[in-house]
Amino acid sequence: MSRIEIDNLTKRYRTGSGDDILAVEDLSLDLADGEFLVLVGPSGCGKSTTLRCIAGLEPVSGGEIRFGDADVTDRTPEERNVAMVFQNYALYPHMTARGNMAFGLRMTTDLSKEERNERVESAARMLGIEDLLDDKPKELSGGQQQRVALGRAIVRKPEVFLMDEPLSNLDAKLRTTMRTEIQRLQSDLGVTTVYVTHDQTEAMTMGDRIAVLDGGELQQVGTPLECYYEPANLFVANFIGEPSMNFFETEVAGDALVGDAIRYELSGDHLDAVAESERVTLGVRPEDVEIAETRRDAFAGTVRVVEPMGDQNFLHLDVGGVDVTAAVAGEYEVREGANVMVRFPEAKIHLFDADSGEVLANCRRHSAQLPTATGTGGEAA
Amino acid sequence: MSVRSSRLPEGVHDAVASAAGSFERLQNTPATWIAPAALFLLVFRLYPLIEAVRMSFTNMSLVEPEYQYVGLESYVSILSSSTFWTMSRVTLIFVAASVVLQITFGMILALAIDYGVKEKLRGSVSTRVAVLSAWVIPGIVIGILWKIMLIETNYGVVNYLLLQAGFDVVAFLSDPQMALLSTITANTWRGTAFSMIMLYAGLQQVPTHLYDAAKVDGARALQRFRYVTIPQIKPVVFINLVLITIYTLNTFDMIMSLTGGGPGHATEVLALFMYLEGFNRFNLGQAAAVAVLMLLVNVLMTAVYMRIFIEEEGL
Amino acid sequence: MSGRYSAESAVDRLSAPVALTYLVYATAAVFFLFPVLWVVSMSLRQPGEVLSYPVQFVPRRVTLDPYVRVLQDSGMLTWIFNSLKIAILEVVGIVLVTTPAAYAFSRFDFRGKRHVLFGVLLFQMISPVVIVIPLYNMMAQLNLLDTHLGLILLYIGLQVPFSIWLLKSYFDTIPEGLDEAARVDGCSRLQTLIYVLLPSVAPGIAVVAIFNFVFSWAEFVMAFTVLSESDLYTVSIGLFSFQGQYSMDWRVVAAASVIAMAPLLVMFVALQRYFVKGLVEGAVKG
Repeated sequence: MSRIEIDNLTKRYRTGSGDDILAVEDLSLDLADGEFLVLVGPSGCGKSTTLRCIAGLEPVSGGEIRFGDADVTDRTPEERNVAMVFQNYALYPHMTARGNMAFGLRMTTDLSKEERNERVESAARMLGIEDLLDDKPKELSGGQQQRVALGRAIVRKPEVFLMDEPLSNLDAKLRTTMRTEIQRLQSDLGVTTVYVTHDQTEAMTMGDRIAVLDGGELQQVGTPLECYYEPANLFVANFIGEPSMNFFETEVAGDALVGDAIRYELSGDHLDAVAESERVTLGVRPEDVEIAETRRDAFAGTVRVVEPMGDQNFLHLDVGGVDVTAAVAGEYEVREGANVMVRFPEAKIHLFDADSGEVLANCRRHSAQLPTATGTGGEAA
Repeated sequence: MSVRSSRLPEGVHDAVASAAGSFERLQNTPATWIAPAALFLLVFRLYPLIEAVRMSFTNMSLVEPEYQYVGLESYVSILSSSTFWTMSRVTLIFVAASVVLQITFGMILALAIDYGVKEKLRGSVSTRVAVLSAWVIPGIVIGILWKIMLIETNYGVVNYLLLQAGFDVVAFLSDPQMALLSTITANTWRGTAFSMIMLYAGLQQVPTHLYDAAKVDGARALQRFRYVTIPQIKPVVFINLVLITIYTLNTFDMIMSLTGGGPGHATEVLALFMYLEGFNRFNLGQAAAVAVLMLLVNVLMTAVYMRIFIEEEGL
Repeated sequence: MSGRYSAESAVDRLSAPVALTYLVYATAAVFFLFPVLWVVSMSLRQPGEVLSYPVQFVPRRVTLDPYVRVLQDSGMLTWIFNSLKIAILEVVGIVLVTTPAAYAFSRFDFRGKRHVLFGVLLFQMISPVVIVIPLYNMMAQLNLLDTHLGLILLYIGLQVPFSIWLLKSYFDTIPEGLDEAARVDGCSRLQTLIYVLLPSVAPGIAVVAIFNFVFSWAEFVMAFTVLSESDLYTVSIGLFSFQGQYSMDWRVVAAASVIAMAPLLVMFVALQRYFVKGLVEGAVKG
């Protein structure tokens, strides 16, 4: 167990035609001991390449990787003492679950057969797969294979866990279960973990921190809530959150932002924020779109599609030619084709420089504590 | 003392480490893995090929150790000999007829078995085994099998059956034209299995939904074959065509035991002609020239094959 | 009403295409099995029954006498032993030589790999018959004429392209994730190949082994060229020389032929699946 430092990591692939492809560019990351970091981004963003560089499966083209105090940049995976969970599990088909889990120990340690077995069985107990140890992978369900793959990583007692989209082959329900299970395991074991996913729900729910990548470049590192409420740029704002943030292209005109669809009056801090910019993208999350009862500061929209989710409805609106998604409480009955007024409260908007994509102002975020039973219990009595 | 004794193991350790390191490095070089196979290829495939070309420019003989380079003389004398052209004609007839028959029978069998398997008819697997067993038998044995079948008296079984049907005894192996026909029959017997298997594999790759779509569009069985099956398996048919052409062109063993090239030169295909030219008539130079000409046909067919292959595999 | 309609269509369906299919099956069975059965029947006859008219399809009184004569009068036992020895050693050799190469072609990326692979394919397409004359000279210079070692090495050389392509296609079906998992588990490339990949390509190795065995057993031209002493003969050339001498007694020739093809036919029927696989993959992939 150790901290991981990645300094200016660069990875270039040479292609057949001689042009290089830059998969990862100048990436720096710092993981505290025992931290769970999620690397997230669309496919081709370089997240898997980064993970494979950390694992030692790919040589780096530049930069340094350190585990604790040791520079591991030129070490083989074995010498790095990492364990990895692969997307397709990569279980050895001819070995039993036990054989799969013990194989790494057989290759890297001098443990006796009994000692290896002990480690395998204790890991199996943690994962609840004691009864499956003598089965071959093809006799196991997807979820069970996933557990064996996790078990293989655990028995190694590695310094670092690396997980490459480990849940993407599971069905939705199992994915939710395994998500919590992996989190529980990771916090029990306290092993520093890098977890790659393209699924932003996994990113939001699992990690201590999220690192968002795009085009081989790091966009933002932060806690899930920071990335959600304080996105560093347009890409992160768009990528994190489901359904994603609504955007309006506007130009700064005096005290207002003027776009094809809207004219939005700014005040106070927001005016200062846009002072340097000409073109500004205004963003507002679906849950922050209010349905207004008056025309004041509101925009007219037409309901195109209603997606009832139960607890809430997602309304897909046409606001002056721009698609806007709004989340409203589930009990509202909304007709398609209905005309509504929507308001974007100024405290909730995000402003981005349209040219650079950098954030100019984020929404105001209130942190509140969840009331706990002991705290309120005394007063009630 | 203490300095030396502590240094020595370290040196040993370094040596071991560097040996292990270079072993590691060797393992990471593809050449290490390929070298043995490459050596065999170079010695037994590439070198003889180059040597064949070199020999074809000499007057090398099996009985005379001395030889000179004579330029194109071997080619000239081969190409101007009427025997060569007779052999070429025999080969052409043999190859063309064999290929056409093998593809036709192979296709009929592949379609029948494909249909049989889909309809779960009995006997599909047995039929496939029966056809394929002909292909497993060594060429020499195939020649003898057919020699026994075609015995030219009334106790040869084929002639017996012909007699029963009211025909005369046929000189299957001693009449030049019949001998060629017999050779073609035996070769078709041997090679149909290969076409069948390849075409059957091709049929399996036609997606079922295409047939369903065609049915919905109102295409009848023959139209489905014409407009769905044929275009879909065209590449497989071409690959098959090229492969069996090459195989047939180089047939040697089966003819050796069936007719030995006779009667006269009636079934002496180019492969046999080349071999006999070299080893029975000792003209290594001229034999090599024939070999080079055969090589050219091989390479030409291979080029066609690779074009299809590249298009199909997208390599 | 509807019941009658569907019954009719079922009858209709049964008649034409099904009958045609069975006709094809029957014709094929007769055409392809008859020569084999005829020779077997021939090999089990009393002397008088060969020349009898009308022809007997099934021997009246079965005798093993022709087989006894083959084993007594020819070197057939020696030839079988030679063929077995050559085939087995060739199979071992080809697996040892081509498995690492196929692994490399599947797992390494290096410049010119495509061209090398096509070169290998080209060699496979060129029939060995074409190079038999220079091969003879070469074997003579290497003092490998009339040796089994020479023939085995030659067979390995000839079979390298086919075996590499076939094995490579098997390696290609194994996800590279397994290699990576093995690397993370601390395996070198050699260990990865032995512990992780070989168990998965075992069926491919089996196909390569079976095809090479059949090739070695049946091969004629090269054996005929390299071996001239009858003690060294393989079954194929032994049979060829034997039938030249004995063509008057067809029973004995038939018995010798049955002996020569029986091992392959038995192997084929037992391992049918592998044959079809190898045939398709070996041909389609090159």
